[in-house]
Amino acid sequence: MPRTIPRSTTALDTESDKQKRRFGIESRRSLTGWTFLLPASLLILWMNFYPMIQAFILSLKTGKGTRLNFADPLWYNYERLFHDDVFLLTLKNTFIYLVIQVPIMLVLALILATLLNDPNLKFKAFWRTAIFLPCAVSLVSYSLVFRTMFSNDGIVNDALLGMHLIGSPINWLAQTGTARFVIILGLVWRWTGYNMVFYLAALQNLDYATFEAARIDGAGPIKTFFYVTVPQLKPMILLTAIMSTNGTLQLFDESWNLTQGGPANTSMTMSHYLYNLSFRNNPNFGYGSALSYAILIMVAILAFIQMKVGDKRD
Amino acid sequence: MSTTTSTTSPATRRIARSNRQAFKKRAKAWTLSIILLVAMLITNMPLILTAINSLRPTIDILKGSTLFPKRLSLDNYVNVLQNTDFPTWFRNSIMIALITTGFTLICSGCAGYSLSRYKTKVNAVWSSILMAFQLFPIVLSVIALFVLFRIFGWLNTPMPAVILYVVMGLPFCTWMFKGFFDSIPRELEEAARVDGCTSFTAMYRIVLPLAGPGAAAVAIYAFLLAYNEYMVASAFLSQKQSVRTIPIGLRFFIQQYTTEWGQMLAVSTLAALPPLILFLLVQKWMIQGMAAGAVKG
Repeated sequence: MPRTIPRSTTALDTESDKQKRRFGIESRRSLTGWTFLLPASLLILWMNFYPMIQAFILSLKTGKGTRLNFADPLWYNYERLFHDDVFLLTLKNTFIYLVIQVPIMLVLALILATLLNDPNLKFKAFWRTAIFLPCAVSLVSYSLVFRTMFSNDGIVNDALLGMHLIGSPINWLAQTGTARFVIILGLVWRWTGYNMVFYLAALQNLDYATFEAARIDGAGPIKTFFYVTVPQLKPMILLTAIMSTNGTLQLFDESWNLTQGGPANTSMTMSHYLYNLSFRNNPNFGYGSALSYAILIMVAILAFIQMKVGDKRD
Repeated sequence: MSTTTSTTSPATRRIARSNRQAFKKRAKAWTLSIILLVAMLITNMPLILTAINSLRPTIDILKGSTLFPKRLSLDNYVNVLQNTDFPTWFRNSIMIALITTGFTLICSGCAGYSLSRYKTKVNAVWSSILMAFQLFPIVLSVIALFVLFRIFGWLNTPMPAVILYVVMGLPFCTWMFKGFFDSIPRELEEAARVDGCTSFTAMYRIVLPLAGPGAAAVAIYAFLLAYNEYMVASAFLSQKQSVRTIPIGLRFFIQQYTTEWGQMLAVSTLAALPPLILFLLVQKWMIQGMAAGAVKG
């Protein structure tokens, strides 16, 4: 703890005089600033830096459970990743989710936010809550409902059969393509409202005069959207894109609860595989840590690329 | 008829035009509402189905879910409250979420205040480190911390979950707080300092009350994160019945009682209530908070 100087000291107080000389006003100020940062810094040191180093050391070791030894070539676990078919499959799955789901979700969120920001709209609180609600709901409950809805005799099959779009019920969760589709649908369903709140927040910060000007210049709603709204929201779009990419790369919940990774691991994500490696049957912490580093590196690279791309379009 | 309209006074024409505009405006609002209603029905269909079907007897549910039930009963809710551990899960979830929210408010509030008011070099570096940790995969922590917490004897206690939830929410909450503090004029504190407050009291007595809406937004964010989190909870809280949270408890319940659909749906409905009420109460502040925090962050 840095010492803070009591406000009540007088000029005659030699002790405080010495301190004042040792720390100028500037450094005294920054000391107070650091004190405010202390709790958060300690937490981050303990919960982020320490595990990061620990995980790196673990990733160089092999063995089951707690009996771990350093691997023979130190990078053994990392080398193993490239030959691990399950890992490569989960990598592919995760990127399929990323490429399909993130753009759809962000566009939907942007459209919804624009609609909700309309000044003529009544009951805004109600609409916002309604659209945000899915993301506030526990994913176990929603996975339960999704699994019922997409079961053989579920409401989705019933509806599709009723409209004569399909001849026989589809076993949604037991086929690779449809299982992935259900996961993507679940993701879009759950996170669109969340991203919408961000866009809504950004929209409310925009100057309404820009929209007025566009209207006077004769721009319709669609042109206004593309030429006035979207460019002004660019920082926010970048932020949500980075957050969603990051979230998708670390995706665990949907894979774990909706499909259990099945059929035959074809809908499993990297984090789900990591969890299985580390906490199911024969925990292999070393290999799991190597995998978590692989995820960390991918997250970092993608975030970096997105920031670069986002900067260039200025 | 046409001659009469063309000969009406300019005043009448103006009224007609403004009527037409008002009508157009109202029509637009209605179309918008209808579009949103459809969007809302689609997004909330799973929840509506859950809530409606949880009110039906299990025998009826097994015949398939419906939007228009013939018989309604509260049996499922009575069963859930009497025969399952739902009250325990609920208490655990609420407790963990509340404690997490408290710690998050303290840690991110102080950090956000520092980043907003003390613009030193260290703070600039710190802030970018924080931004980087927003992207930190929490699974990476979980493995290493599992080993550590086992030594501490913290497995199957709420401690690891609370600490990890605080850390998970920290970067974003700090940003939100920083944005809020940035929007509060510095002169207010300087006046307080002149009147003899220390920097801590100035923050506590002057800035915090003004940052109320921001704090509300941060609070609900932290609460939701802790209330719904699954992976950390399943790593640290799943082995002992008495510490399970709602998501974990529900998950075990689903595995054990595969036929008790009515009760599962009732649990799901009950679990959705606290976040719903909370968000409805503070949604306006939440959006303001995100605007202040995230946009400028």
